[in-house]
Amino acid sequence: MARRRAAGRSRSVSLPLAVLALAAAGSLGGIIYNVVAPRGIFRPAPAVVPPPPAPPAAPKPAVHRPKPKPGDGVVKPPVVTPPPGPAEIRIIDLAEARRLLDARGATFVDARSAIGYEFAHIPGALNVPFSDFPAAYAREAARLPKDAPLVVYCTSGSCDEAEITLGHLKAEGYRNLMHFKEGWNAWEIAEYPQEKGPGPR
Amino acid sequence: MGDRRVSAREGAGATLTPVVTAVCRLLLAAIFLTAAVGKLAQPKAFLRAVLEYQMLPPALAPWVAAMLPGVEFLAGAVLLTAAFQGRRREVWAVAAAWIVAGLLAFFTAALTVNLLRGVPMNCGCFDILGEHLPYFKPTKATWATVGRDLLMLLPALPLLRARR
Repeated sequence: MARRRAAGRSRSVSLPLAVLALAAAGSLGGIIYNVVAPRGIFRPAPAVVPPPPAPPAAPKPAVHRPKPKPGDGVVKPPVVTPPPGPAEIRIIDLAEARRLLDARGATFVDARSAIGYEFAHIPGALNVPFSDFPAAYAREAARLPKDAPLVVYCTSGSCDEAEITLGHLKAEGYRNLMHFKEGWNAWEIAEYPQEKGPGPR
Repeated sequence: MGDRRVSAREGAGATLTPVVTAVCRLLLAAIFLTAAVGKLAQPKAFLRAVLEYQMLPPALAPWVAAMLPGVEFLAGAVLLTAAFQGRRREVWAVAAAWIVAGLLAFFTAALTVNLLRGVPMNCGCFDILGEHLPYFKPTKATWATVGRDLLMLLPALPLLRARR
């Protein structure tokens, strides 16, 4: 009688045991990776470094009143300021975003969900989630003057959360908008300053 | 007792089955290795994605976010090597297929639940690939994402039983 033995069938390992073994080995490998890797989940986060203090205000120059010249007092035609054109959203990179933070040259707007924002965000950034703009904007509008330079960011360059929020802000009349396209992923990888928690109330 | 005669149809099927099996294993290996590498490259980004699902206690989320990419990577690696090894060590290949199918079923269920709950989130599956390929752009999860995951489940189904 021919003795049949299926090729490749292991008699020592059953299928359920093989599933458990693979799952356990994979899980253990994942945990070890996240302990050892520089950006692993279980690695200590870089120390939260507060942004540098604002530079001292430059002294105001003395007001120089020139002597009146002949012809002064003639009514001059008013200067007509052309109406503002459509807002052009400027894309900025990581270096410029860091420069703006250090110089306090803009207000940062985090377009991610509240969970992502509270996990970590750029210091001083306000959370205006893309998914709930009306409520978030109503909450933060007082801290977002219409003429203030705003830098909007989300997770990375390939998500659309920042673009959605930028569209809403543009519709609200904001004209000085910047898109930090590389987003939070690039900021975190560069180990730049970060804050955690719900942000200002 | 002797050699069993094999019909032409059975012969054709016996020839096609190893090819279909190898192709399905390669396809799933490519998908899961790519997804795993992306998650391992940016572990904290994946942790944020897990938190956004709002399905796990916050204390448990880091552990799941750490373990899941490791399981995906190992299952993908086993399927990749099994695609070239024929029927040797087939129980491990079938086990990897069950793991892959289980993960896909879980992702599909989790996405469906959150879409019904109205929880806004990104899928968080292929972020690294999404940097270069528009199809994998990590936009908001939609019913199309659920459909995509169900399609990925199809090549796993023939792999769930060891070949006779």
